[in-house]
Amino acid sequence: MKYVAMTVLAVVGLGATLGGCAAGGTSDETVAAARLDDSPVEGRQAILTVHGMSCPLCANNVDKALMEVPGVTGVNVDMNTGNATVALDGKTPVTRRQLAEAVDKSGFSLRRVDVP
Amino acid sequence: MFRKQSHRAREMDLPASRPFAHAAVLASLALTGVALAQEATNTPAATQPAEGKLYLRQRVQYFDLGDDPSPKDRDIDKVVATTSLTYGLRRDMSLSLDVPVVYAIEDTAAGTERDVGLSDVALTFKYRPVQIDLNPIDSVRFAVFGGLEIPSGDGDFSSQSLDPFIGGVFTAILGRHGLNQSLSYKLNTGGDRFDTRAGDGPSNALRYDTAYLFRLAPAQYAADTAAATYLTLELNGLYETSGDNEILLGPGILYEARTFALEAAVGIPVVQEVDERPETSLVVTLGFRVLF
Repeated sequence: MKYVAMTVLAVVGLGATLGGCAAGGTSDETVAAARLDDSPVEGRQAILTVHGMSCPLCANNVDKALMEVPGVTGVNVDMNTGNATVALDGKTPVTRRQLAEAVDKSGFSLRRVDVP
Repeated sequence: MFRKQSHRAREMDLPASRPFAHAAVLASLALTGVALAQEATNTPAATQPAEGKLYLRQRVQYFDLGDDPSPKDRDIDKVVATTSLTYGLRRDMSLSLDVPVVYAIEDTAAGTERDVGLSDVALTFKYRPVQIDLNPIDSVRFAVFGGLEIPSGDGDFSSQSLDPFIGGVFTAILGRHGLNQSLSYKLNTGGDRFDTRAGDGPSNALRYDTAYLFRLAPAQYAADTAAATYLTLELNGLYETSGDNEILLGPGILYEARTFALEAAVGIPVVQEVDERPETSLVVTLGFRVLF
C-alpha cells in the first residue's frame, strides 16, 4: 500500500512538473529570469503583470517607479488585470531587469514580463 | 501608534508670541481629510510608500471632552492638527514623523481658557516582513512598528518624557473588502501630570484598533479607474494601566485618487470606563494625503 501511495505521488508530481513546462514555465520562473536579463527589450512596449495593487494610490506607486526608468515614456496601469503597459522611446536601451527592479521598489509583486 | 494629543490648557488667551503655531492650526483647519491606500482614518495599516517615495498626510481632529474628574470640572474642546511625513526606505521599510499642533478651549466655572502649542513629536519605524499578493488586487500583509514620542518641551503641551512604543498590524484586502487589525503598547517613562485624553497620562497604554473598509465604487476596477470611494467602520480601543478603558466606534468615508486621498470619520464612545481623565464625547477627523 505504501508503494502504491508513493507511486501516485510521484506520478502527480511529475505530471505537474511537465504540465508547467508545457505551459512555458510558471510566472515565477519568468520573473526570476527577467530579474537577471540585461538584454534590451526589443520593440516599443512591454506588459508587466503586477499583483497586490489594491487601490488607486497603490497603482500610482508602480506608475511612478516605472516612469523613473530611463527610456520609459509612458505607463498605463489597469488595476483590474494588474497589467502595467510600459511605453518605451525605442532609443534608450531598457532591460527586463530594470523594469523588474522598478516594480520591486514600488512594493508590489511582479508576476510576468511580456514583450509583444 | 500613539500621539500625545491633549494637554491642560494654560490660563491664558492665545499668545501673540506663537504666530507659527497659530498659522499651523489655521492652515490645518483649512485643509480637509485624506488617507493612504486601504488605511482607515484612525487605525494603522500594513501599508507604506514605495522605496524613495514620500507621503504627506494632514489630519485635523476635533475632540469633545467632558465629565472631568479633576477639581476644575472642565468642559474641553480640542483641535489637534497632525502633519505626518512618511518616507519609504525600502519596499518593506518606512520612517514616519508626526508633528501635532494642539488648540484647546476649556470652559470652567472661572471662565474660558484658550491655548495653542506643539505636542510631542512621534518618530515611527515600520517593517513589513509578510506580504502575500494573491492576485492583481488581493493582498495579505503584516507589519511591525515601533518608535519614540519625543517631548516637544512646549510647556503643558509636552509630556516632558521620552516614551517608546511598539506594535503590530495585520492587513487583508480581498476584493472590495479590507480589514486592518492593530495592537500597540506605549511605555510612559515619566510625568505624573493629570491629562485630558486617553493615552496621554502617566500610565502605560495598550491600543487595540480594528478597521473594516468596503469599496463602495467602483464595484469592479477597470482599465480607466482613476479613483475609488470606501466606506469605513472603525473600533478604536485604548486601555491604560490606570484601569481606564475606552472604545470608540466610528463610521467614515475615504476617497482615494491616484495621487491623493481625502477622508472623514467620526468616533463615538461605546465603552467608557474612565476615572482618571475626562471622558470622550465625540471625535471628528478630517484629513488628506498626497503621494510625491
